[in-house]
Amino acid sequence: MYPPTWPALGTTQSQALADDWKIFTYAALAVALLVWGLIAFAALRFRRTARNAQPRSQRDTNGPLEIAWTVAPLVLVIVLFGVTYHIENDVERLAPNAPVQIAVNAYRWGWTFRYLHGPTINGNLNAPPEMVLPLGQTTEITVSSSDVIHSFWIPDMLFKRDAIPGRVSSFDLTPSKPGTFLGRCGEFCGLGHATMAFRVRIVSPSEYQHWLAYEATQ
Amino acid sequence: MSAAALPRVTAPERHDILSWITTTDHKRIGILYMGTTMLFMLVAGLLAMAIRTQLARPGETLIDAHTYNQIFTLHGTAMIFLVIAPFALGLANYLIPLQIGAPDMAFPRLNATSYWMFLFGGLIVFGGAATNEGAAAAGWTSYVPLSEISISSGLGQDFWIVGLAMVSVASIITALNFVTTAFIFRAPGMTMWRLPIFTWEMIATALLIFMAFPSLTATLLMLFVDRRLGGHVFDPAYGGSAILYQHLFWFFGHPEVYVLILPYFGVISEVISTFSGRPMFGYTGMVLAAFAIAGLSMGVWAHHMFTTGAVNNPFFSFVSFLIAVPTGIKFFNWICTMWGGAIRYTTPMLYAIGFLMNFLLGGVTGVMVASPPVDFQAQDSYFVVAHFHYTIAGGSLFALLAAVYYWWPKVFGWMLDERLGKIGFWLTFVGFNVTFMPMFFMGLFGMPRRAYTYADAGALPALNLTATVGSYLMLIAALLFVANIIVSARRRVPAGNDPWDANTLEWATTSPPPEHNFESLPPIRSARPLWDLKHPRSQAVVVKVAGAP
Amino acid sequence: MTTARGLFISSALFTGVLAIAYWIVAHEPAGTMMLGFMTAALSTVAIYMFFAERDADLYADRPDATMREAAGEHVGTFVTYSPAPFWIGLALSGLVLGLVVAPAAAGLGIVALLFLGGLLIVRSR
Repeated sequence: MYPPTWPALGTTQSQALADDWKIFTYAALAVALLVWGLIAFAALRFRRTARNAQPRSQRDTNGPLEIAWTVAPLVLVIVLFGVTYHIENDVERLAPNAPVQIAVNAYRWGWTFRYLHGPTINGNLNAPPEMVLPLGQTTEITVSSSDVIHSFWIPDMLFKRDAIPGRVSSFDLTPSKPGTFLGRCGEFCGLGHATMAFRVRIVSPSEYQHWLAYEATQ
Repeated sequence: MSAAALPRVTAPERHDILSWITTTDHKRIGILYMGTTMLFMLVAGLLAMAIRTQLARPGETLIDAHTYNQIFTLHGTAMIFLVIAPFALGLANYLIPLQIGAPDMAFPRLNATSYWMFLFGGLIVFGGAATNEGAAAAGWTSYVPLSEISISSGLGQDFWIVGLAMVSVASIITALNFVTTAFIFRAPGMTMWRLPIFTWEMIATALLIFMAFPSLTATLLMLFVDRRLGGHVFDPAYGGSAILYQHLFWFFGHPEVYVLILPYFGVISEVISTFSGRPMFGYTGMVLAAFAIAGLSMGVWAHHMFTTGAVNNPFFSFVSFLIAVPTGIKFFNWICTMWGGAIRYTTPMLYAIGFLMNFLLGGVTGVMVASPPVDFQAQDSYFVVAHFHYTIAGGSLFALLAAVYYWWPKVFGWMLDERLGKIGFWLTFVGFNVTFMPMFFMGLFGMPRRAYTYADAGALPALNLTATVGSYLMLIAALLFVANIIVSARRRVPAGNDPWDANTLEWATTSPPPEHNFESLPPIRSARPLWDLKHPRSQAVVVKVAGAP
Repeated sequence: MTTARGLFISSALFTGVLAIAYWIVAHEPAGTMMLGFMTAALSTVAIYMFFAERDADLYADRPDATMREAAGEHVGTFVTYSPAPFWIGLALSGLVLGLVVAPAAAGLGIVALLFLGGLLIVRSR
């Protein structure tokens, strides 16, 4: 199981999400460093000293400068919106006829995973359920809830989707890394929220078939 | 607007408890408002310390889950509804009439009513803790169905609803009062485009309150109907909708976060302008940016719902990004106000620069979480906890402290100790960043918010311990602040009318101001009437720059 | 008052445009409805200011007004004390708590509040 540190990026979708994280982090840091620098420079350079006893100017407008710092951020956010729009579309696209389809139902405080034409896995706080997925095959997950709002969150895959009573909502995962990932509830749901966990185990397609066969005998 | 002069109803100034209970003087109401929020802040701050103590190490059993849920619900509710927003209302209550040269607010009795409703509403919210099942425990958002009676049966949740409804109505009343006062009661020559930036920001805030708070009141009413009168507005089992609650709540909730920050933008503008010895740079841009933020904030509510899969993410993402533009304008204007000045490093100025540094990080991470692909991980994780604490605590709270240090001499007539104030600032600044910087990483690494415990694995224990250490630094700073008030109250260093060499009208009257505010007013020919008074020759230039359109 | 009027008119226009844009992009009724309500509310103020306040003439809006020429201008009557607000606040909290907890307690509370309010009025005369 991956410990909670840098996300392991266990799906192809999460690699696109990670790109978005990187682009936005670098953009945010670049802007922040620039403005921090300007603040620090102004704050230190123009402090009152014996040589700088009086304000040098009382000028309070500068048209071109003001237009520039309105237009430049505007251009930047429009570019960033283009990036985010593109990546979100990629991530949220649902593949037709996904080979694995699972209906996830959340309740206080546990999860039920219903595989289409397959087993139903149930688990609660004492025995977290395990979702087994085949490596490289697109899985369509449909989440819902039977009481309050929960959220199906796998931090290592950089993705969560709320499980809302009276609604269903679908997304695709394409596992790209074998291993066991921790999943948890991402929306506050009461007493058991902190420990309402599950596991996602990514195995090779053949192992997955074995697992299906084994579950069918249970 | 002119009418026959009526005699003023006045009573001799008294200072017993009854006189405070029956007062309608905007300055006393302002003091009551601010004093009350300070006491609420003490409670909410101690609740935060309880949270950090519980999370200092994994598997801590100091606080059980139910108590923890009540604690963070009360902490969030109190800080948002009972501290940061009403402190600004109190400050504006005190300052707006003084800044525009008016004798009082437009509706003094309504003003006092708003205060008492706020106080009792706040006490009711906290009073929920005394009920059988304790205080509300569904988070400050109180999402349905979690807050429905079938799941949260305790009376605490009902106390939360009716208490906040009172606070909400009180805010609407006060906003109405602000706008009327600022429109009608300006002194002769104080045109709209000569209003101090703080007053402008409060007009924008009031506009936001008009637009947002009715939605809150209505939502609380619907929730109450669901809980106590057998309604099914939000109950999916009867055709209600849980998503509808989120729409309604965030339609209030996102403008609310700008209600929490716009007044403090005003505070920062006043402080930076005063201590740099320069006029507010880009005055017009500053005002327009405030209204741009207010307007855009009405179209971003569902960026809190990106992970529901039930809203149009690109629309809300784009409008949210746009808010970065007017906020950027404000930042550049503040920098240019300092540029070419002679900056005096007093305690309020330090807090103002601390505000700029912290709020900037809150702002750029705000752009990050406005991108749905980032938000899919950050939503309801400690990443957003860090983000909004950088804006509300590192931003608004720092500006709140700047305001306290800046206007304290005007309100009480004596100075706060500068040396203790500066030590306090550095402790707060370091403590704040040590507390909240690790939270960005906790969130990215997968720690959900509102969790009373976490696993002993990976980086989480170390990050959490760091955050707890930082929070204790801030606790020391808070104690130092109390000590500062006590020490300074003993010393009573007289402030005089204008201790900071400031330029807005409130510094033209005595400290503290008389009951009717002004004995006489200087001529008002710019946004800085006192500057014109102190520098007679520069007047002509200033008139041209800040003349009415 | 030109600026104040412009403020409400432009706010109403902005939310109106936002409501239409939101409907076109998202086809979502709850948000469109709320933006529509907001447009209606802001328009009410804007229309009032446009017609009723058109002739408003404040010394405050004249850039060159002096304190002397405005002397005697009646800006309003300001009471400096009133027992009513505290009483209203207390009564309202009694009312809402009564709604939540128990009607009997609410009745008792109202009696107590009447007594307290009467006391306040008598004392503050």
